[in-house]
Amino acid sequence: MEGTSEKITADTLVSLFPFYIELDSQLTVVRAGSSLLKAMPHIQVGAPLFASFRVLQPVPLNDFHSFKKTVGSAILLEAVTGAIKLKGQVVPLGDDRLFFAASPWVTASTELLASGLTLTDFAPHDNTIEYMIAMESTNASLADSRELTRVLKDERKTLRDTIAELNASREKYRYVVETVREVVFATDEEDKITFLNPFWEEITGYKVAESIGVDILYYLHEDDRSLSKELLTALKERILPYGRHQIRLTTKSGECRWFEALLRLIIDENDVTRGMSGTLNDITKRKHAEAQLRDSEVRLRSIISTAVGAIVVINSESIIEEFNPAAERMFGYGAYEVVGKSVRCLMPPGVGYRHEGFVKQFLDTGINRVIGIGREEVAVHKNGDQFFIDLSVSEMMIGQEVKFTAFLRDITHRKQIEAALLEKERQERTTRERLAYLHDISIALAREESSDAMCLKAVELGRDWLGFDRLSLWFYDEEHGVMRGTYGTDESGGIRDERNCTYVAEHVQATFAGRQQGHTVPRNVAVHYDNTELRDHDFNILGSGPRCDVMLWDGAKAIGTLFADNYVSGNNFDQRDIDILELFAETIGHLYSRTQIQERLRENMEALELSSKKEAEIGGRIQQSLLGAPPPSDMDGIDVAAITLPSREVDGDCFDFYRHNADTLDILIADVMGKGVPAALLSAAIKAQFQRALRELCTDLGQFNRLPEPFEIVNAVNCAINGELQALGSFVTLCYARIDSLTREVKIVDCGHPPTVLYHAPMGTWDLLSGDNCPLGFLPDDTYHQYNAPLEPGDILLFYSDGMTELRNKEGDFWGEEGVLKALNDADKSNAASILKEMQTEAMAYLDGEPQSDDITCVTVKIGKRERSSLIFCDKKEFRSSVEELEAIREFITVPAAQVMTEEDLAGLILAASEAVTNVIQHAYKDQPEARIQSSVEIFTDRVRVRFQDTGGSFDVSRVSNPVFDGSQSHGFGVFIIDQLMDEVRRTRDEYGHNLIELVKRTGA
Amino acid sequence: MELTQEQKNGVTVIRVSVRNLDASNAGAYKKAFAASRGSNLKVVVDLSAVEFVDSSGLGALLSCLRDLHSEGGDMKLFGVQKPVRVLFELVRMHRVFDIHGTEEDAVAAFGA
Repeated sequence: MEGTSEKITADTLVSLFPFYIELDSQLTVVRAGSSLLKAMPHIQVGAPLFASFRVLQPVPLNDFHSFKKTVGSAILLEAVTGAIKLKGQVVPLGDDRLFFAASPWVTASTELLASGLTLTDFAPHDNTIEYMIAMESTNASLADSRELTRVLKDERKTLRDTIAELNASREKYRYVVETVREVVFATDEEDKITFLNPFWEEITGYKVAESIGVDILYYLHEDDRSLSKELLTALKERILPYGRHQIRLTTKSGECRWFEALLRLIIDENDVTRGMSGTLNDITKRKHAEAQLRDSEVRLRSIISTAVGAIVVINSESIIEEFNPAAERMFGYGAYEVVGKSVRCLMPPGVGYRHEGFVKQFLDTGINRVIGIGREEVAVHKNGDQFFIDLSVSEMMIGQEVKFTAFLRDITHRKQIEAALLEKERQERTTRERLAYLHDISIALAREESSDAMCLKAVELGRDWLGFDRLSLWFYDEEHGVMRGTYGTDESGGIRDERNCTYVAEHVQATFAGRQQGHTVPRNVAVHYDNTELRDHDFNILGSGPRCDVMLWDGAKAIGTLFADNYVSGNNFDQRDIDILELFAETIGHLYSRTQIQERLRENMEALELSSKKEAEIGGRIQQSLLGAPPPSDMDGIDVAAITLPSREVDGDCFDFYRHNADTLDILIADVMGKGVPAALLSAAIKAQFQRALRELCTDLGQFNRLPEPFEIVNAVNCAINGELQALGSFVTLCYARIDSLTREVKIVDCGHPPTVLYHAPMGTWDLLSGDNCPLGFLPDDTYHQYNAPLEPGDILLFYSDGMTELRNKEGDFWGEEGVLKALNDADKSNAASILKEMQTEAMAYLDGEPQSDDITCVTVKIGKRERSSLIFCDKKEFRSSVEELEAIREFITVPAAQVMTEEDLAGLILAASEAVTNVIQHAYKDQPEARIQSSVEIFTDRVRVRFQDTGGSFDVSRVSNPVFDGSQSHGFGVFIIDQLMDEVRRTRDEYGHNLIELVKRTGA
Repeated sequence: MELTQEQKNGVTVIRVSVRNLDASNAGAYKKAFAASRGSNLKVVVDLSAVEFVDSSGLGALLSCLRDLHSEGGDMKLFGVQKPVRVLFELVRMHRVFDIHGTEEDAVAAFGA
């Protein structure tokens, strides 16, 4: 807090410390935090601080200046009612105000529950984990914390969806321009190319990059250049509204291709021409097809002339004289059926007279309508079907008689192809126009950043480019169930702001509400009327005329309506108009949703940025206060050091140490998936679970005189939190290690954590210790295994989080295991702290100023020589107070002690113990077999200790007379024997009447 | 407790068959010893099977010795195991008891 107080405003502090108190120079409470007021409703703003609180620490603090002097050190206040204690620091706000940044000081969970506070009343940096544990007993507050987690998750999901949606819509747009099967281009005012889509490369072989900046005329076939130039000029002088003509381009490979070019001027807001945009549609294939068709007609004619086709010969009276087999097949008549009849029978009704007219005209005037020219006619089959024929006639003089020979070819198929070609060409032209409009309009509208500006621009462009008299754009307001206006153009060409207009129309509501309920709205987008009621913007009837309504869509969702009418001109909407309107509406619908997404995204991003910043601050505090732990400094032969290097964003790293005794140390290092406050809180909870599991298992197994094994601890923690982790979809990698300097081994349970390095200092070799367990939370039901590794004095253990191996340098390369091992190998290994320091230096040198993306947690352990005696073995057992038990008691001691004692020392110990127990049985308990004696044997590295405890009568050793050694007495040797044989004897009796005798025999080891 | 006894050259040799002579059986030992020796005054006790004697056991042995002395008899021991000797030496009973290495020596000691 110190040094930064000037930069922090009171408002920031207020949000961080819900238990704050703001004081003026008279120490009057000016404001107080909401959570504090909840816990202490009787605090009065405007009343002196000391009316509600007294200072516990430091004393004396009685005026403004003494408070102000405490900046940087802690103050502890207690409510005069005793309801709550507050701990915190003072931050000066200017010269005459103080801000007491306080957190509740809770020492027992009952205090907390009594205060009526819930988890949401606390700032995240308050000792949250304590409260979480304290509050677990109340379901309500647990639900609070789950609700918080859920809300946070939901927010993140929404954001992710929004981003994905935006990406998809961008993708869609890019896709349209890039996949159009025609060239889209733009030029500047000097006809230099400024834009080309990828299809250019495909069709011409020129790279887009090499073509940008080139005069567009350069690519034209030389024969087309002058005509094109004229066209461009006409366009620029605005003689033509747009240009369309067929041109040839020469491709990179020298090939000539035909294109239909569609050109439009780009005019800026000052009406200055900025260049042109347009499309080039490859029509080379069509051109070839046309040419081929012409060729085939010529060929066919020659085939007919060599008489393979149908031939009908008539005389001057139009009577059929010849009818060849091909003609029979064509018409379905046999020759015998038609020869001698008029040729009219082969013609549709009404055509025969015209035919006879042609014949007469030819015979009278020599005017030739048919002969040698060929024409298309309709013929009639025997079954009545009409079909197209190509007719060529030649005249022959046979004697004096003129005869006509008709060569017939069935061209029905060709006619069909021609009709299809015509239809296709019409369709293509419509599509191209749509694309040209879509391109221009969408580019202009896409520049608008807000949906509001986009709507305004849309009606303006609709008026200027599309030429509809009046346009109006409405969207469905889901919240209120009404249609809401945006902008419109009116009959005088002005813009109308209709943003405050709404209307309710039942059919509209049914349409839009229907899709809310999942009904399918038919996508018949445009509805047009040739003459319908037209209203003005206040819904008054203006007159009547043609109107067209088009629905607006966002994907499959109907979102609004575009209204267009031709009130002024009265022109009906033809198919072309409707096509354009539909396209226009599609563009608007799409862009409207896109700008809305962008607006939401912008808001979201701002909120996210703010929350990330706050999260980082809170996270940093959590990290410092909850996730680390000081390494113990009083171990025998185990030297430990630990560090966390925080990144900008808090991680789920944590570590902890559990010191069982001077020889045995447990180390936990864990990493929760994810980042930020949720990960940090989960990590803190994991740490708390380990503490709890260890405490409970130690209590349970204490009766069996052993510590819980690391795998038992991990299994217990897994049982406790697996369900929670599964529910959160999270998991934890961890390494739980127990180092025993007496047995010189390390036991490790590795759950998906980076391998632990065991470095053998004398040889400079190492082992990577890595287990095969899955991280906690991976599988719903899993058990964890441990493995052991022997340790030697001088060995070094290195535990670390993946933030260390995943450090990246400027080139983006990982530091990796190799980097870590090299740094370890080169480090000064005189103690754990020196190793850690050099590892840190090396890590920072590797980063070389690059930002560190993850937290790094690193724990180093150096195994040293033991300095103190330590417990090797301990066993405890309770015996009945009976001499019958003596042999069993001796065996209880002999079995372990024989391992470490000479035969003579052992004999002495057994004798002394036997004497001590006999005294208890016979004198303290006076032979009550139901009484019990608690016994223990402990073997240390340098001694053996035996203890007996009883609750019998007191025994004053000073009143025991000295033994007589002449054989005259058979009693009184016990105490003497014990004192003589043992190196240390201690007899105590506590306030509860427990007598304890402790016998120690040194082993000299 | 059962003690076996046999006569050798007018000396009663009593063999202690228990491994421990402690507070749990010291009283029983005294009774069994008295019954076993009867009125014999020359007694040799074989302790070779006894691995442990505590002060109660020692007291029982002393008590038996005192009884014999009061009747003008005597008792000699052999087969004293090391743990037992530790105790004897500690309370200087090696001076009170006449301890021999073998049964022959102990029996022969009465003949001297």
